[in-house]
Amino acid sequence: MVTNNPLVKERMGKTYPVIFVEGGYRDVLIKVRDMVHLGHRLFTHPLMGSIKPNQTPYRTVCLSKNVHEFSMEDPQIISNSIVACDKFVPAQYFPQSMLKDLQTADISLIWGTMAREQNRNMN
Amino acid sequence: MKLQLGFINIKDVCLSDKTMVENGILHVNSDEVISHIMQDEDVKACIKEAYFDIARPGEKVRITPVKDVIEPRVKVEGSGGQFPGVISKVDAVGSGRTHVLKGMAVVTVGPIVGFQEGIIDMWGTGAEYTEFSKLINLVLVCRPAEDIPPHEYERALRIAGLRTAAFLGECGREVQPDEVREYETFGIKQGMEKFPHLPRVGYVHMLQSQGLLHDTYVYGVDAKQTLSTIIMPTETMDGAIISGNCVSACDKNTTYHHQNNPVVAELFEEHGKSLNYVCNIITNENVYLADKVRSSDWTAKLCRLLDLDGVIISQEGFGNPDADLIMNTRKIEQQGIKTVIITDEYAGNDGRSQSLADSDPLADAVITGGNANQVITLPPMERVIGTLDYVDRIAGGHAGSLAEDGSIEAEIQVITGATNEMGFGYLSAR
Repeated sequence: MVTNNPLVKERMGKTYPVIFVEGGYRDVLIKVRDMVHLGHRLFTHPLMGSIKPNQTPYRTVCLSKNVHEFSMEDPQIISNSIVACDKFVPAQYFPQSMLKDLQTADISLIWGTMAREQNRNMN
Repeated sequence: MKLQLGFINIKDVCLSDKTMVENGILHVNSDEVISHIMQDEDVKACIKEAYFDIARPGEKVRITPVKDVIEPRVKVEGSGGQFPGVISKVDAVGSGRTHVLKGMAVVTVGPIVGFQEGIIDMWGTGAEYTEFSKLINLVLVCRPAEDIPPHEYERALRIAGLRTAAFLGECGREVQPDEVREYETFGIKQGMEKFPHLPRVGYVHMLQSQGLLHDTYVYGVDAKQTLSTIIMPTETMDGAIISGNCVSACDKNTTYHHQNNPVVAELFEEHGKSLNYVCNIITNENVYLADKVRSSDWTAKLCRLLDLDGVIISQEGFGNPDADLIMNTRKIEQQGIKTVIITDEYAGNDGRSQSLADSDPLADAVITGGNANQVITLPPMERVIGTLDYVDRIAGGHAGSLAEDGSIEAEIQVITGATNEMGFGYLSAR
């Protein structure tokens, strides 16, 4: 899991390998892009959640642990996601009181997905 | 399957000591309805305070943060009740007769996670962007109890709205409707025999299903837990699908949208004339890429199995669902079936950026609901129902977007329903 959400690191770090990114939403996408280019497969969509890139500072993306044969599909998805991210007015400010809510919204999407049996069998 | 909808035109809504419809006016006894809502233990536990307010078209009123919009209805003949599997017991709806309180809606208001919910302006620039500004809105404002997790409060607010709509719908049971319309679809073989020369058209209805606060329920089932399946159009018209989606105000499909889906309405309009409307296929928009592959495979297989000639596809939301939209389109086209997709655009403030997060050459017939990044200024109002505390943080609002005089500069994505991806809107290139 590539994330900048401290709650994901805290709650899921013991169960799954977590790469923690010190940075913003876009920085997570860039890290994911680099890993996809090395052959890691995307498990979750980088723009999951319909919460726009300028409405939350947090992002978590699940990728395969192992490196696979290179395909064009995943690099396209992550590149398009970065392009989509860059379209939004970035000057969003997040009051301290909202950060916990946004962390919860982010982790909940991943949590629900990983809890499902059919999503556990891939590496 | 045949459904009659009886429309009772509501000319006004007023708070009163009785709850009833008389001469086209809906009287609402606030205490009685709130007490009915609070009979649900979960709702009672999560909501500290609830009250009603009324907003009419043309009044200088701003409603925010809007969670859901619901049309009150009652089942007067045939199986099932309102919102089966959620409010009434599970039983197939979509046949018989349903009465509709037309021209009004129940609007639920409450802060879910401090962001994402929308705005409905009853007057001014913002009122030009959404159908909901033209309805008489009975607004249910609910304040959460202390320390309630967002998802539990979301559920309470969702149930409170549905219970209100079902309770008020009952008032129309004995009322003679102003207009009655009939909708009918046929079995596969019967439809082919009846309209042998008309193209067979289906509607792939994508449901928001990404997870917490991004959910849709079909007969009470969370759509992210299902595979793509078939549903009769009259079932969707009759309350089988409800919204649990709290994100992306401009392109979230509220329960009202599902009840009044314009794609379904238009296909029925042409049914038997220029096309044979076969059925709807519902499918989801999960975040896991393997789910997307599975669901889109399934959708394409069903389209082939039904021998469809053409398919209309509508999506809900932004970003992640674009991937499902394009997968569905590509796979259905590869079966030799023509597609038209309905979406909206996030094309930047100047409209010059790429509109969707995904694309394919086979997606060559696209209807857009508008550019959600378009910036407008909403004038100050005389009254706010709800609270402006969250305006800065609603999708499309940004720091400083709420000016001291009460005006709001924001992208049109703050307006509930502004770029609806079923085509339930006003934006047009004409």
